[in-house]
Amino acid sequence: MNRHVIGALFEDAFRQVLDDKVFRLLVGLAAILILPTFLVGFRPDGISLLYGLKTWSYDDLMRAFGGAVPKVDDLNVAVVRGIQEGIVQGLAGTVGLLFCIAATAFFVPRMLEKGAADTLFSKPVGRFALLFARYCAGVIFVAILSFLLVLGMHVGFLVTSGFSDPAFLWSALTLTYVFALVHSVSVAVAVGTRSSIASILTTLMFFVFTGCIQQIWIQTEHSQVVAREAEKRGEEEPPGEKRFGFLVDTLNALHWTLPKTSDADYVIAGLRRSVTESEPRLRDANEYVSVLGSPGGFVRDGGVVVDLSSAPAVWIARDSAGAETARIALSRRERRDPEREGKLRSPTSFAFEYAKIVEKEPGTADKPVRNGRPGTEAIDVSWVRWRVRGADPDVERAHGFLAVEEALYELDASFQHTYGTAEERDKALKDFLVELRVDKKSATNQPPQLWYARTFGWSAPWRYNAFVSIGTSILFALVLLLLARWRLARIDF
Amino acid sequence: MSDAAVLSVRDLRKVYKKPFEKGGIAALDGVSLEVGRGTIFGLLGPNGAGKTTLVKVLLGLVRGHTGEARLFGLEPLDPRSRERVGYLPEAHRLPGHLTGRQLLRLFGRLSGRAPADVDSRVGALLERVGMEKAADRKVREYSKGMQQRIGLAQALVHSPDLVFLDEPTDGVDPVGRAQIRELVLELKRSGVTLFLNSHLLLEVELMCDRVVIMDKGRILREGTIADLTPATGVVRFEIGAPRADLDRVLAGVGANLRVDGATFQLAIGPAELDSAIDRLRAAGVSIRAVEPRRLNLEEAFLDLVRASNSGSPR
Repeated sequence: MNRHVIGALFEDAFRQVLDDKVFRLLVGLAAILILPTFLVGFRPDGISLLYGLKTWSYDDLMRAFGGAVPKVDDLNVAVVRGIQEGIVQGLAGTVGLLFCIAATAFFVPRMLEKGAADTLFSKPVGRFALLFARYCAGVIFVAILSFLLVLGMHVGFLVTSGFSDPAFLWSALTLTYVFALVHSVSVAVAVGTRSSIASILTTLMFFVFTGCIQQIWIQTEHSQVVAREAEKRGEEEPPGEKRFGFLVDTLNALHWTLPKTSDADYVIAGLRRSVTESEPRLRDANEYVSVLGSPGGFVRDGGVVVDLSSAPAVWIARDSAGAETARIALSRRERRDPEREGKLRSPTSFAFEYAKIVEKEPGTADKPVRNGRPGTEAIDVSWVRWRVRGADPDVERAHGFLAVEEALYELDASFQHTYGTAEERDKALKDFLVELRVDKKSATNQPPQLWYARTFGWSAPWRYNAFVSIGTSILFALVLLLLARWRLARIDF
Repeated sequence: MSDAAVLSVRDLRKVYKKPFEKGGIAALDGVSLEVGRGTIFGLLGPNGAGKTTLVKVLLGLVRGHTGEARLFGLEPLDPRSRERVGYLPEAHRLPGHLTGRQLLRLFGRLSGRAPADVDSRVGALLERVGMEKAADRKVREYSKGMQQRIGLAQALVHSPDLVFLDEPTDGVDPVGRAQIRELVLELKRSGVTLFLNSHLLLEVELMCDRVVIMDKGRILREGTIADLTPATGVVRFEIGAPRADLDRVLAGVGANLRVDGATFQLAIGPAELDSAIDRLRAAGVSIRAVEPRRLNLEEAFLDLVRASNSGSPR
């Protein structure tokens, strides 16, 4: 097969897609979804319509609907991310893909109809090449729509909301990837039955079935990990796995055989992380927590892997003369209370106790304040904040408690008056928390989906590894395409 | 296979089997055939005779046959064997999402031709099949006859040396048919071999050099048109005016006289023909035409097929 043939096949696939009425309809729908992102902007202080023609604060808007503004930092970013995920992963990733399955299912049966097949297969091109071109037509169909939707929304939010998350662009690739997996089923069934209806119904059922299998598998895996954790703690092992071992084996076999379409969401999250996050600058020796970078103006000396239980990691900010203006220290200790049979204490109780101690210290200017801010979407910190009378002006102090499993992480910050305003101090602390990553959590304390989302990744153990998930899924699609090739070679037209 | 042959089949057999059933339907039952370069070869037979199966085996569209089949010396399953072949299937369905021009470009490139090479041929070919005005309309908007014309063009777009045409004038108006016939003859003159499968026997008779008549997967007869349409021994006379006394005038000459106004037929041998003409002239009959009757292709075809169905020896 020479390059002219390959070029012709892809050009034809492209033309077929552009000519498809459902494709045009879906382009229209994508445009309808994209358009509002160019008209409505989500700003830090509120929502802006038509580039400032009309604006509403989040408070006013939520009050109008009888709600309250959620206590989230960078609300506008959270809203934009929510809309992006809702439309791309929620709408396009489910309903949109179902549409696309139905719209592309006739590509292969139509090619195999009498009259059409005779003309096409009498050309000096291998049958599989022609079939693969039709498979590619389906994938091109979804790729164009996905990239249009994702890129359109990205640009829209960039223009009106000033928000840009380049990692969001990966969503287009993963949508196309999921469809490419499912489309292999459609193609295989189409070759086997030469019926569009059979192809659509089987593919839709398969899409739902694989999703269910994967969700049940995640539940089962989670319960097994929880059981192992319980066993480690010396608690009794739940009997589930032993009684229904054959069911678990069947489930495992299905999971590892079938494409893991639901993993796409976790792949997106992983890809987003890989784009937005760099290698950590510091990793606690127990691998529970890592720090990706430093807040603006702060510098830390020392290696990457540090045992925070033996010595704190310290970030220091200095002025132009080299004098220290602020420091943030991060350390770890056990949060089990030996006086209460080793039960875990909450960060709030640590903060409460700490506030009492600080209050009694002679240098404390006012009564210490306890609150949960600054924090991030992912990390809750119980803070104690107070002022210490100094020889010169006062020093602002903050001490935060963060629980990760049985470990308690403590953030100790002090700001000289030369550092800046209260807002700048808050920003420094928040910037620090943004760089903080909680890498490890036990399954016991998390719902299965959240546990899987946090466990799944590019460097996770093989059962939860993104490369393994993608590799086995692609293998499944390849096997189906080879099966279709085998069947097609035996058809008499 | 001889050097001049572009296609040859030897003892070709193909049985369509149904799952879970023994036996099957024998579509080809020991067909042997050879087609030389630059000829127009007609393939005739009733429905289910195996004509289309034979073409499809040669084009690699039907597999699982026994015996030998070769196109330009290559096995049908070898895609290279189809590089120099054009095919217009019966009741073809062309991709409706393309315009006529795009379709020709696609099929030309699928045949391995460079885009520039294809583009240089497309315009002239569209004109040749009378489709230049509709070339930029979608194929799905074409009428039956237009689909047939563009289908013929796609079979020729890569300058093939062998062309299979299955009912090429199906759905085409009389003017179009004449154009297609002219195109076929022009292709023959340029050295292209044509394999014509048509139910329009007059068309076959007008165009084909050699004809094969098939039935039940076997070849009943092969030969030139003249071979297949022998003289019947009947001569048709056309005279100036009806005569009631022809029985008397021609008494003792020929047999089975049938009179129909100013024409009559007589079973007569070549030796007696002069005598019959002499008698007519002597009786003052004005002779306008004398035509020895041959079987036409349709009659020859029907005779053969009927004989095949009744089990008579061929």
